[in-house]
Amino acid sequence: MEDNTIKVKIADLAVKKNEGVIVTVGLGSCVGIALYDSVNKVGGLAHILLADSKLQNKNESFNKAKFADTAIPLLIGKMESLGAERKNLRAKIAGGSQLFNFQKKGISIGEKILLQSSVS
Amino acid sequence: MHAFKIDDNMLDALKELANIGIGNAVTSLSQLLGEEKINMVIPVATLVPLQDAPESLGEEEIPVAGVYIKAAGDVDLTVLFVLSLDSAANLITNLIPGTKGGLDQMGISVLIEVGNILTGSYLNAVSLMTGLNLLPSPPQIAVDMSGAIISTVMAENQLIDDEVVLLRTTIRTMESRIDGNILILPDGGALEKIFSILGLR
Amino acid sequence: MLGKRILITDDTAFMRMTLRNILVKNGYEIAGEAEDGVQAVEQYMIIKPDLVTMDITMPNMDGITAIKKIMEKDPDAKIVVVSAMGQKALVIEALNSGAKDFIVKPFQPDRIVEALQKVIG
Repeated sequence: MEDNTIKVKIADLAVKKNEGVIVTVGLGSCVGIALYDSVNKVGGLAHILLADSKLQNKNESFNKAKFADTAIPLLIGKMESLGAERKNLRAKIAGGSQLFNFQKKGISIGEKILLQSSVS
Repeated sequence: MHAFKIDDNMLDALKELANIGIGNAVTSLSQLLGEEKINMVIPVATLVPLQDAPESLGEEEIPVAGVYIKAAGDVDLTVLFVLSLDSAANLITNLIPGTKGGLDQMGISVLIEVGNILTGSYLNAVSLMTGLNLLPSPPQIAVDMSGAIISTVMAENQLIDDEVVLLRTTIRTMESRIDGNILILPDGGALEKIFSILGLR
Repeated sequence: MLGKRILITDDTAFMRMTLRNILVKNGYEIAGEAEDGVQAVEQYMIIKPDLVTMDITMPNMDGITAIKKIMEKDPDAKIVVVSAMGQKALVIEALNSGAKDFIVKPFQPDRIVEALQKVIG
């Protein structure tokens, strides 16, 4: 992989300034959220596993990139520390697929993450 | 994180359990394929960082057929039977001679039934050895990147600890050119019970 | 044995086809096919087969529940389980619920034919 490419794994996120590529693969029901500030040239990508962190014991430290509700603020915060400004942020979302037709009562994990992550 | 530390003794015990369980499953598969000889790599039981789990079956971007079964009962575990698309085709033509091995309704049905039989045999053996009773769900299938399949199954079953226990084995038929991977993911509560039955806790 | 009517129950098309082929080859008539326990119970009452083959792991209604429901409606029903699951507790439950035999997959065709012959000839 070239020096300028960062690979983001599951429950992971990365930010970069100026030049480079941030990549993640194999989303499945996971959701990839890409944020970009084209003015300050800061990009970020998160590969999110679950919609919300409600089952997580917040008294322990945990990997915030796992959950949409904790990953997005973290991602934005990291981008801001590289000089990004919220007002410039544009988002693209991918993933949230239903690979299997799980017999379920509610909506799929992917759909839940997408709803949780609504970024304008 | 797991409530207790998982050490090498425990992983070793899981490996042995998987060995016998999957051995039983492979015997069934062999019978199904007309007594064809099948090689089975001794299962590996590992504690893998969450982030690396989707890559456990190798190249995560290659499309594969994945049959997923959730077994629940005294403990819960997830079984994934993953084949390359070529192997899937070979399996289908072996079981329905004369067809092209395509993933049409009948072809998919073959993969699902094979997943069902493999899992059933595995669970039968585990039950005999541990006294635990688990019943499988009807199998489901996806054709997608192996990484996507694994991560989807983990998300669906909340297998999201920072370290995930994986039991994995590779099987290979001698004649029909079918290579498969069987991946078993026990959930946290399952491990505690199993280890306690095995006298490791 | 000739012309005895069988209702095949399994959620997998491949398994229904496999059973169908074995049974037809051995002189049985396929009266119907069910994909889950709900269909099995419904069809049983309509078709009144001589025997039912019943899978256990199925969506909507599992095989054990279906066996109980069919036996309730017809205590003389002849049901043979054909399942990938062979755990002792399950076999006992199936037999106690009224199944006449329990065949574990994968099976040799002879095993199925033998089992059916014992139950209905």
